[in-house]
Amino acid sequence: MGEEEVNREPLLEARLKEAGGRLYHAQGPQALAGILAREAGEPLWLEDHPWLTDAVPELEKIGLAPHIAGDTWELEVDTAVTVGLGAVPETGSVLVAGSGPSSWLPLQARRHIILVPLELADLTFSQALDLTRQEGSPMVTWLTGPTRTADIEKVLILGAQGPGELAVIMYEPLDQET
Amino acid sequence: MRQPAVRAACHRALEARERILRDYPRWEDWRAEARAIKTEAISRLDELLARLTREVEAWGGQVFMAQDAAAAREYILEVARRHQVRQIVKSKSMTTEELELNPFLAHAGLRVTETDLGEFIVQLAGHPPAHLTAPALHLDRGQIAAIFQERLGEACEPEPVPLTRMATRYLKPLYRQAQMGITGVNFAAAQEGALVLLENEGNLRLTATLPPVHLAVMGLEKVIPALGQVEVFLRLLPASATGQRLTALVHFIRGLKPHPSGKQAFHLVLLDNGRGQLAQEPELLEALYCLRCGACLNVCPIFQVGAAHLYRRVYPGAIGILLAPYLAPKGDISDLCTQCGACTDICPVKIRLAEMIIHTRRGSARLRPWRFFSQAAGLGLAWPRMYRRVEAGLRLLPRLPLKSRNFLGLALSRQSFYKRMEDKREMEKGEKGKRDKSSG
Repeated sequence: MGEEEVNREPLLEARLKEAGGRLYHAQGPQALAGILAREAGEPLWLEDHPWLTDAVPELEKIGLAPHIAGDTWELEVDTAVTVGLGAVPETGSVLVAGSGPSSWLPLQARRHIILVPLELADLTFSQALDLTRQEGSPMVTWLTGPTRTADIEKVLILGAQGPGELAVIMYEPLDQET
Repeated sequence: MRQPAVRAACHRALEARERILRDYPRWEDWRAEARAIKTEAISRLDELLARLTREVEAWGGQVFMAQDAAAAREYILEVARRHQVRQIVKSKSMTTEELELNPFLAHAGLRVTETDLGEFIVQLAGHPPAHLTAPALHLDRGQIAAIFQERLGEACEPEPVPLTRMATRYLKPLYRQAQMGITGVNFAAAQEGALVLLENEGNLRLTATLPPVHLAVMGLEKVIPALGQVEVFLRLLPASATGQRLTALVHFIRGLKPHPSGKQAFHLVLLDNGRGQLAQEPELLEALYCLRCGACLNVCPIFQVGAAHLYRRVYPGAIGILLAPYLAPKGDISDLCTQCGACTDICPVKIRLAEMIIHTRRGSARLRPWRFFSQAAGLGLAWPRMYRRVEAGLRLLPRLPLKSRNFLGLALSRQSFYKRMEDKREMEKGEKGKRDKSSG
């Protein structure tokens, strides 16, 4: 496909917007905390992932009190932040997997924020399918915008029975980060 | 039935599809590719189903091949009893509609709740779904508010947002109370034992994830050889169904999902129910290529008049006509087609729907008594000179003592249909004028 030669970041942003989502770019925990301070609400729950645990001190400095989904977790939270596998600019989709609390966290969250490794934010459809196949999780989901329904008179409503807001952060860890 | 609402909803879906297609210059290539994949899959059906069964069992799922609806229902009930299930949440699945699963499980004492908003509404209303992808298409916001008030005992502003929020509030606790979640399947990749499920609301994810048992039901024609081949279907299906590049959520299941109480149990029911017989019919087997996108319904002039209820079958429209003689309970609805051919043009897998409906009509016992007339008409229309002479001759016949609304009376009238309608309109206009004068 010819699209591989073009810079796909504007395409990802445009497609995410078309699907009702938003795109950000962050490098390091401080920048990440800044975006979360603007985008997230409380209660704020984070997946137990080094990129997110590293951001906790920065979030606390801003005045947020994030929870890490470990042994305990909540199903109904305001904002769930998790780490995805990659993104597909063609459709504005984000691939998420995982098991345990991190996979349950976003089910009934009002907002879902997903960090995507920058180098995997420009997958083609077939690359995304390969990644899905290779990923060992029992369930991989491709998210394209917030949940939605148009079952009443075809009127579109975002946030049907899952997150009503979806934001994607293309994330670059700092060199010393894992 | 709100005919204008059904027509408007169909047209909105078609417009959304058209908007997306402007960005898809390779649409025709994708249609051809999808058709080739489905052709291969149906020709290797037994082999692919055996492979799918092996792969799903290898990751811990249990697979049951149901020859008919009764066997599928009994298996599902047995699974429910084995897991001490009392409450079930269910996401949208036309295959389970085919099984008439809800009344069966309710009769066995289980509480089943549909969680897709449209399905939830029609379940409360006691109606069958009006469309493959938009079950409550025939109801307006006022009617839905009245249904909620009556069945949920709570008044709600008759607007889409509050009604949706009210349904969500009602459904939320049920996902955690339920011991079993039932879903459909859109595609099953045999090589990887991977199941692909598409949705927009998030209810399918909750249904498939939160209860300790997940049971998925699929018609056996949903199998494809390998996961890589799903790519083209992920482009065609959402665009054709709802005019989306991709549905809000696409799930790929390839293992037992974690559950707070441990690993979730998983059961897959493969349903034949007449599909195997259809696969043996060379002229008609491509009906099994159907993706259930509903585009052939949206474009059908007959569907737009009465939605799915007109057909009185689970699968309406052109595809429903083709499936009716094979999928139990068998039926014949082949007269519900105008042969306009729009369904063939729009089908994302290029099923020759209109052509195959003609083939179905040829085998229809119900239409057999009319075959003489259609053959005679065909002969007449093939010879325009003869047609004109016969028509002129018929018009010279004295008017038969038939009621004016009778079809033969109209057909043999000395005046053309158009002239009769024009005269009728003039007459009505005159009568209205007289009434207006007398009332003024």
